[in-house]
Amino acid sequence: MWEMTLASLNEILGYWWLIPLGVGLGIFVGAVPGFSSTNVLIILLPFTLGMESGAGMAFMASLYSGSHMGGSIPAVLFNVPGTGAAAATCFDGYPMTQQGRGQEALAIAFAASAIGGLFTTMITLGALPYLSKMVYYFGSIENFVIILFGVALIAQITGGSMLKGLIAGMFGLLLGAVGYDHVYSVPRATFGLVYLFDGMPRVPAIVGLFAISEAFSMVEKNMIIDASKLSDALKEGWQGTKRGLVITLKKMGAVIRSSLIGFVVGIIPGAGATIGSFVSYQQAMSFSKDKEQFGKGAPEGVIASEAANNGLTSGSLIPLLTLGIPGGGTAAVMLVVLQAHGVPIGPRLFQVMPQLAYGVVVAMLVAYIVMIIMGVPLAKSLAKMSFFPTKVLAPAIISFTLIGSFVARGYLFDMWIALFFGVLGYILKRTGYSPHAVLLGVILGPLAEQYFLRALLLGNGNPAILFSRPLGNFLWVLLVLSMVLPALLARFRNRKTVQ
Amino acid sequence: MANKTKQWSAGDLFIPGLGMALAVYYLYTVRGLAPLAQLYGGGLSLICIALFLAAVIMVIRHRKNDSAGGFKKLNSLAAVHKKFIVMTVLTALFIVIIPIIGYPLASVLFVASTTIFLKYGNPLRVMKVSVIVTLVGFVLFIIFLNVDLPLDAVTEKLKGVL
Repeated sequence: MWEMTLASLNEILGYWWLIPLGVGLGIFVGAVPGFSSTNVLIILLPFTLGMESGAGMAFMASLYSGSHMGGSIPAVLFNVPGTGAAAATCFDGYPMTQQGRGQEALAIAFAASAIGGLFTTMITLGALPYLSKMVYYFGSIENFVIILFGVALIAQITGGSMLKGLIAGMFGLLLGAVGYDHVYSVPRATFGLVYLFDGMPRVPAIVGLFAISEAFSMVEKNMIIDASKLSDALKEGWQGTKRGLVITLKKMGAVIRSSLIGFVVGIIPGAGATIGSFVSYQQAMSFSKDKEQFGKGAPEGVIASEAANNGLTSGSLIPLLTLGIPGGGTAAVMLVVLQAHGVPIGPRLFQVMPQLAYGVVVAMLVAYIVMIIMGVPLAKSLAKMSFFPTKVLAPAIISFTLIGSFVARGYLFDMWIALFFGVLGYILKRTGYSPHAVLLGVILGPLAEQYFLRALLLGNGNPAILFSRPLGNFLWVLLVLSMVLPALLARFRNRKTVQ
Repeated sequence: MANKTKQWSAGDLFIPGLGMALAVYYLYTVRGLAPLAQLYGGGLSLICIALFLAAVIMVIRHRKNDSAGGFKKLNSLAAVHKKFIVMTVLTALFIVIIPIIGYPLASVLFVASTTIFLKYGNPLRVMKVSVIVTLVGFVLFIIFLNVDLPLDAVTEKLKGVL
């Protein structure tokens, strides 16, 4: 394996310049709301198809890695997640910016992204052929339970009122159940609109609930940053970046744990980075001693989301490289490029062109090192964007994010959906309901339904099928433990303090 | 995260009410379908209706005296949320005019009208900001990322040249 790694590294040095180019472009594209690495890789297909297969794959892997990091920039600074995977970054990243700690939050996001990605890429490199077997163990039941980890977050981000949290979460889940049903393909609650037949579009929902509702709220004050913290934030040199790096290094355990969660979710085809970051956030919150700080600017929240969505990138390539199954949109574009070059896909790749398979992972490894060098020094300059007056920011955010909501499907109708969710998000905030819980429902609901119904069909409608597989049962136990154990531990700690 | 709310006001029923309305409509659209097609969404709908009833009980039992927090009285709604209402209307108009006059012109008008409403500064400053924001959007989305937004005749030609 090491010979192969060194040979791949040697080959990559021949087109090293593609990696910073890919990372830079990835960071930029990730920061544009509504755009993902998949969109851009499709636009750049003529460019990548014209390259050698190894160079093309290295470029695409670098762009993919960079895009997850880029998604955190608008999430932290403006509450606008550049990608769905960065939605959980908003929970704590944006409150940190409001407290004048934007630079610190960005440094944490960049460092956690790069370290988390680097760590899981090294695992991938060492265990690539063995990890492929994991894919076979994850069926509908296991996927359903994994999604429930994310759904469980609804109960935990309720703020002050459990009832309000549940109402928001269930409302979100119901909104997510709009559209064709996954078994009989019958449209449900679509108001006769063909645009909703495919379900509630995710990008306009994210854009509306976070970006547009925040733009409506931010015009009520002059700056994003609280007035009392503004003068300190303006005077800040590199201290925020240093603080962010120190915090990330001190919380290395959290970075590793979150990136591992993302990695495992990444290996499952179709699970996606959004689920990975939500599951990781739920776990971080469950086992934190400072649960109350989550959602109010806890660095652990930013770490959990960012380390997970970057830890996931290398994991998501495993089904593609080992089995020829694209785990997501970006992997599907990579598959097209590999096929166009006549590269054998699946297990034969390791027999015929092992250097190419290892080359992709090595390129990713180099990309994460480049990300640390490129990203962290940017935190200071990028944080200054939060000093723009809201009177300019709000219209600019609305104008840009509406385009972002249009991009995914190309329907102007999606702009109306974004506006609907923007108004909904504003009302949710004003009346003490959690927009995050609604978003969780909208994003995870359709996936939960899909896997739930598939599992039921396998069991001929008998719900006992949900508890029929060893790995599934193990995940059920973990789910229950992750819900119950933190409460028990907290009670134990309180009792100890009283004594 | 949600604000800490121990008391409830009538305005707090807006979201559960919306949820219940969707739930009733949902149940209406799935009536007569196979049980498996009704199971997930139907179950959620029933939960939403139950949660709405729970919220009504909470409002009756823990009603706030000063009604702070949620929407106050309906007649003061416009005054309290004036900026939100105007911004929503301007955004809706922006979406309406995009297919008619094209994105660039619509964006200039939208940014100009919102910044004037938000009292950003003199007309020259407003114009400058509107043009810059539109230019950034045009170059980034239409030229660089090739987004197929509706354009007017002039920018369509410009796009072709670039």
